[in-house]
Amino acid sequence: MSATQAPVHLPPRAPAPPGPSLTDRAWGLIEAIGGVVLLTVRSLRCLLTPPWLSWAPEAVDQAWILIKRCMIPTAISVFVFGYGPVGVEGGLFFKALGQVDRLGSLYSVGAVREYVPWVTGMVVAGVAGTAITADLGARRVREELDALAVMGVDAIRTLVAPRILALMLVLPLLNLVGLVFASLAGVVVELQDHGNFAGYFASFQSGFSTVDMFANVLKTAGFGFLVAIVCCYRGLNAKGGSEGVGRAVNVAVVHSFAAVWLFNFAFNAVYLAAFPGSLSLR
Amino acid sequence: MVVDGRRVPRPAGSGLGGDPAPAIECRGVHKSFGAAPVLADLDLAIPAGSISVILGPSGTGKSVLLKHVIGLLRPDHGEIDVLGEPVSRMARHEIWDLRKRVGILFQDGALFGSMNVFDNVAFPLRQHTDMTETEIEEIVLRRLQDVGLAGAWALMPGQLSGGMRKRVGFARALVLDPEIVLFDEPDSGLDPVRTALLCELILETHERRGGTYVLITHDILSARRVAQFIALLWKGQIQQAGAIEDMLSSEDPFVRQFLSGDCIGPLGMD
Repeated sequence: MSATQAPVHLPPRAPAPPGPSLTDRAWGLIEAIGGVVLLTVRSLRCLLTPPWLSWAPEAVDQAWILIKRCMIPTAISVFVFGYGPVGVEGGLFFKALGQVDRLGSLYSVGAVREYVPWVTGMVVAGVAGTAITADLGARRVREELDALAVMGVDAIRTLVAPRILALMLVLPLLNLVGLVFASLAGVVVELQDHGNFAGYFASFQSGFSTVDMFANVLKTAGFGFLVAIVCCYRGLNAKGGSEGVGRAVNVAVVHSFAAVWLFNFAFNAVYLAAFPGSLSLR
Repeated sequence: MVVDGRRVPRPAGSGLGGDPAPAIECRGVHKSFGAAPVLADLDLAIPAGSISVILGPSGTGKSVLLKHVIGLLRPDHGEIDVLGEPVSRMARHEIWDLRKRVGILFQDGALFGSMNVFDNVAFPLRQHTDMTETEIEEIVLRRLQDVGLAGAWALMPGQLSGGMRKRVGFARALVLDPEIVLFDEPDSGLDPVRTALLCELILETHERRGGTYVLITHDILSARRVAQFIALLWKGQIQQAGAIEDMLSSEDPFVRQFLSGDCIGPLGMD
């Protein structure tokens, strides 16, 4: 005879609290944009006013940390992206058109102008930007930032300005390393699928332009600035304990991705309008 | 000194009934976050040279008031004078100069996680003085000895207990010899014995060094142990303030209820 089991009654679930209204969200966005602009102005003032170079030691430390954290993820991401979608898929497309010797130009133009800066920006936002938000957010909720302020230390000068500078220097540098790995991915695809090295290198060389390279470095410095300012702002304004820090990190990564996409689109539009010759494949 | 078996702080310098100029004075201070007012036309005068306690139930704006005193927040309207300086109207660099004269112990110590105990306590000296490392070492070890942590100078904040973190925070707050020391809920997260020991340390330090100490707490026992002056904060306003003897003998129903921790009275769960 089997005993009947008593039904399990789960405790009633509390109704989810109502989220912020559309108006609140709109005000929140306006407030965030205003806060980011204000933080930008204050950071620039710290970088451009005495005591000179007071931010330099922290900027060097941060740059080194960023290189250590982001170098390998950037190299792997760029190589994989360059090998698969660009190399293998693009190579097949060129092969179908009987233009396999053109594959090199896809790297010297597409990689320099578009996908290496973009992938590097995403990796740095995801790896370094989140770390910056988590670090500053934890300091905020532990009242370390208040303690700094009480001791007469400007957190913008000592924490924010060095991080902005470090990201603006390191992101272009990582991007240059990424270009090497992207080109290497092209060589591997060529070696594996086509074997036309002469054509690859010739089209790579003819597609390469110095203006593209300058624009590439400028654009990635812009990415670095945007990721740094958005992530610092979110970290400095974290509230609500450890849960609040988690929320700040989540918002920071979404907003810095969006900032990178928007800036990338605007920059490319202006660049191609300013240098229309870049539109034609050489 | 000891009165009725209870340790009572000795009035130091220009304490209660002495110098009429208060160390901290708030006049009509109002602060709202969104639609909710946290401080509502608050008036308060903290006597110089004494240990004052601002008492109030949780969520009544005690920490917000403290942040106004050190200029981390600015009032929507009203005036705050600290050591005779109008904090609410000062420029940022003037506030930083004033903050060098004010030490603060945050709730959890607010120690810098990347520095050991020694560097945490030495930080204000390195930041604001031209002392040599030998002089800094001497001062820091003396302050750590004052709070009973001379042997813990090499530990990182993560290796300290809650009570130890507060004592390191206290040593750091004292290291620049401030004229005012503020304590934000020094008893939070501590067991009764450690709370008593910390109160004893605050009393001893005040006896030895003088200055104006302001504690913010909701713990009546801590307040009774250390206070010379008590201000009761409720609904964003100071309901009553005065010397501890006057407050303990007050007939005001709110004061009586709060200081006795009674269930019956004007203060309810809402």
